[in-house]
Amino acid sequence: MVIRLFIAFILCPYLFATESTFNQIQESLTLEAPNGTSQNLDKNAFIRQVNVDNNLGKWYAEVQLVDDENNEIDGQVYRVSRKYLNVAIGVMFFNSLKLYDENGNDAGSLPGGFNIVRIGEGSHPFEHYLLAITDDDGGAIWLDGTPYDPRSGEPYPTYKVRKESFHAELLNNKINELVFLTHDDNSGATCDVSATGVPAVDPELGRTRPKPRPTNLNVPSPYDVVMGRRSSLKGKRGCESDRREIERGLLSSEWSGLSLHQKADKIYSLAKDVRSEIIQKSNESGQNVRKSSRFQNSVNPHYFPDNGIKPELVTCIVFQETEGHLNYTSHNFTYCANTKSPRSSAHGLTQFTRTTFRMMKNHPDGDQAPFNTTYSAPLNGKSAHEAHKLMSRYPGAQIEMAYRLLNHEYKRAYVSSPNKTRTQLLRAAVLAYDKDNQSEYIRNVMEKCLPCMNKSGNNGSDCYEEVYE
Amino acid sequence: MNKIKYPLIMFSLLCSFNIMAKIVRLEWTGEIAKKSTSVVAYYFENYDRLEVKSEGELKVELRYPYLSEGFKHFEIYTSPDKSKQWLVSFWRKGVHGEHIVVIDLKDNKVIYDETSSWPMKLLRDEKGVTLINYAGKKELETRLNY
Repeated sequence: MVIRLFIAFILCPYLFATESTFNQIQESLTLEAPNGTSQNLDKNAFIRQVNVDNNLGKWYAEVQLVDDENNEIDGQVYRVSRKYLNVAIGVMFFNSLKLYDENGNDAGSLPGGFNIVRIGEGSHPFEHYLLAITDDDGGAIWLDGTPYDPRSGEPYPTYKVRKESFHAELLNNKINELVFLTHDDNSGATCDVSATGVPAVDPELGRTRPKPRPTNLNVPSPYDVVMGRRSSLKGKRGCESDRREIERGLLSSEWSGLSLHQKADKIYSLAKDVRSEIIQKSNESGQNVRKSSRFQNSVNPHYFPDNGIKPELVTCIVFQETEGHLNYTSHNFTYCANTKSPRSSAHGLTQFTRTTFRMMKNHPDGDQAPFNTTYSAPLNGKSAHEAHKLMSRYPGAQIEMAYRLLNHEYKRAYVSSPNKTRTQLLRAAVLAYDKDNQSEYIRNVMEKCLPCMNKSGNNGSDCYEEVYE
Repeated sequence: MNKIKYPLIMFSLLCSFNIMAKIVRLEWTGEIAKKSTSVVAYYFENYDRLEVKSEGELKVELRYPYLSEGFKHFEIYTSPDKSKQWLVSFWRKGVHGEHIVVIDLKDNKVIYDETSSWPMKLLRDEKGVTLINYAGKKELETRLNY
């Protein structure tokens, strides 16, 4: 008995240890060898992480080169930044995935649309893969969407997923891509996934795969739908025009029949309405009050200086960001590059990336984007990741985010230089929004569009072309 | 009475200078040219900051607004012969851009500092890196050799 216990005690760490699993890299990757040389890997090469348990809390991961059957190639152990590695091997799943904590207890479901990275595998308490959920930059996030802070002292966030369900969802992922390929409309039709020609037997499991859930095309956000079509379009001729067509097809009936002139007027009208409601809600909360501390004013999202950000400026920003198409479902030019995922998640009228969105919500001195208006209310209670995608359905929410950021930057500029004129503060806010002093951006927005919009009687349609000339 | 008063005064002083809001994002320590070197990125009052210290002495300091140009991460690149070590720091720029600053840790000098209206491309090889930034959609390429 004693001997059995002793053996169990000795073996225990090995039973619970995370084993290496191999991953195919989706984009080229540079690794660093112990002798300081670097090794460049092309897309589709295979690597596996080693010393997983020891390295989880570190900024780097250790990897080995392997072939497609997980056999070592050169026996060397390379180092690579964990974030960089996560970007290179992450996979985005369309459907939700059931996750478990380290003890095998139910941790909740990960909604579709997140990047996940397979770190390792194990068999306790069931056959599983160890996963990390990551953002666009490869940073780890918790299941509730909160970014992992390495300084928090908390362990690196990992979750277990049953191998069987991981493979099934991996297959569903491929099916979803095919579904988006074969359906051009978003009429709400339920797709018959069995008609996609995907074999019913999972080649990895070697047996019949679970029946995939029907995909209702009304459910995903416009962002998800456009992204779902990407794999069939990227890197191909005509991708840009196809993307535009998909984006146009996703506009609500209120927008889809509008001319560019009408859209420009609608954007200006919406910008005025959104500002009115932001101010109204801020006043109602009793927090739209100037205090003696400039810093506290700058981080109080409810404080909107009277002379600060006006609808005319936000309208000009939208005209500049949407490149003459004025569609709230628009993506960006990195969509068509032949890379695993677009390098930028920017979308909509104001082209906010997921990272910028998350930074606003998780500002160290308080949430800078309280969703307290009717425009942003649908985003309330969602993780930053989900809210960013969902925002693609709500043009008012997109405009509200631009107000929030510009207002913050306007006040921050005032903190650092209280003697600046209003025009200088506005200029600083616009510069903070996009690119530098030398670019066309500031000229188009501040020197061409804004003076036009400020002219009495002018509407959006009188000025939107100013930024394209 | 003083026993109670002093801690209270110290606490209110700390709060008024907002010292408690300093949040470290990423740290690295190592040896460069036989000198102990540290790199720390942290948030303090609306700004993300990065400091490079050699033997405890501040050599390089970067500071950008948190919301529009906040810190993403940094990496240390070492040349194959180990004669050069670069600190490559990644920052956001505006709502959808990126900013990369490269510091030669041996000389403590900024050798590359460019912003881009879209995420930049960084291609690393044994001789150095190629960095591509965007002005609008126009690509601008820079080559840095060790």
